[in-house]
Amino acid sequence: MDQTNRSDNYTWSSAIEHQQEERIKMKYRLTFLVGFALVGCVLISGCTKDKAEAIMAVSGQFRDEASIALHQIRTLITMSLEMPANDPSKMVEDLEELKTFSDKELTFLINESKPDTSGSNAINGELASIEKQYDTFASMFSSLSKGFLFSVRSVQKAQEYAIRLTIQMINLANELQTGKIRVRCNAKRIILVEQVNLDKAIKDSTIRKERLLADVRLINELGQQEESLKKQALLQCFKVAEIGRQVAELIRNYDKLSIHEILAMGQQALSLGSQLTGQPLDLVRMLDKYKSIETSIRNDSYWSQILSKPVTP
Amino acid sequence: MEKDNDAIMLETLGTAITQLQVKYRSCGLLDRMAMKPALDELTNDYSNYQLRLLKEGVICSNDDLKAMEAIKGEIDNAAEAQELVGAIAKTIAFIAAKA
Repeated sequence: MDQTNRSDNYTWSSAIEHQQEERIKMKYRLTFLVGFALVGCVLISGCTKDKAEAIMAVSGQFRDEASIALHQIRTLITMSLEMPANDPSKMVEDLEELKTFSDKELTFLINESKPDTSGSNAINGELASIEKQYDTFASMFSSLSKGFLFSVRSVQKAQEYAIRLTIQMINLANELQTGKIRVRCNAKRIILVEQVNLDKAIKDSTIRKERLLADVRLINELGQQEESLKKQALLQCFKVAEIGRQVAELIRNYDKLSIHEILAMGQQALSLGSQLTGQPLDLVRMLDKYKSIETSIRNDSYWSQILSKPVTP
Repeated sequence: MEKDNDAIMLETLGTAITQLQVKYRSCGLLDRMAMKPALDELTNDYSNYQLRLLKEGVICSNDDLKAMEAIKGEIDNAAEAQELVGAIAKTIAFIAAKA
């Protein structure tokens, strides 16, 4: 009986040990399975959260800098047609010369300073739709850090648009440089023309020369201001183009580059603004540089294939 | 950098507008009232010309925009799928811990 009990106890404890062994094995199997699946995903995609966040940061910078560039272009176009505000003393003259003053004249005076905006509205609409393109580009990656394991193909598709948007910004810089977007402080020009004509009519030659000398200084200042506005806008377009080029490279090598390389490229793109701002600008050379980047993109068999591909939404 | 014919045309139009604006501002109220529609028309012609030149540099189309929105949808879906996989992994890890 004793022997039977001992034998039962032995069988029971052996069964418990066996069950525990099986549990431990199962635990290891499941842990291995989860680990293997996750490591497998990372290895297959070559992507990590850090890489995804680098792309998100640089594409966000691309959008923000493009928005600044487009805002500058909008301001330049508006300025090129702007008229100075009416001088109150001139309005007094207007009222004095009229025999009668009616609501018709009153309405005209109220609306005179408001320009007819149908033409400029169309330009603003076009610039807003360009801005939306850069915004949409950046928004593509807004969930990338949460879905980096399964997004490799989608990210690869996005490179085409990084290049298109980069070339587009180079085109806008080219339009600024060649005068297809005019840089003129029109209101200041009008005031200066009026001022010079008034000063030319002064009879006293000494006073006239003094006033005209002051006008010459204003003319030079205006020239410098217009040149400076043009340089700022061009610099901004170049900054956007450079960041766009970096975004395209990041995307192109998303699954190949190491985290360190990706982060270094991202950092380079993000610090570009401060690098360019402190340097004296040779705009013609910079434009040539960016035109050569555009040409090399178009001549590169890899990029040109992407660019010539029909768009399939 | 040399200006092409479009840039020269824009410059010519712009200069003509500025001259007209100077002339306009020197006139009395009744003359300005008569001149205003013509000045506005010329300004709009200029803006339309500027718009045409601006569009020459634009190479992204509405189709590109739609394609980018579609890619955004794919990446958003991938994020949902990854979240799901993460949740499954956590569940398996929980079961493994309890096993």
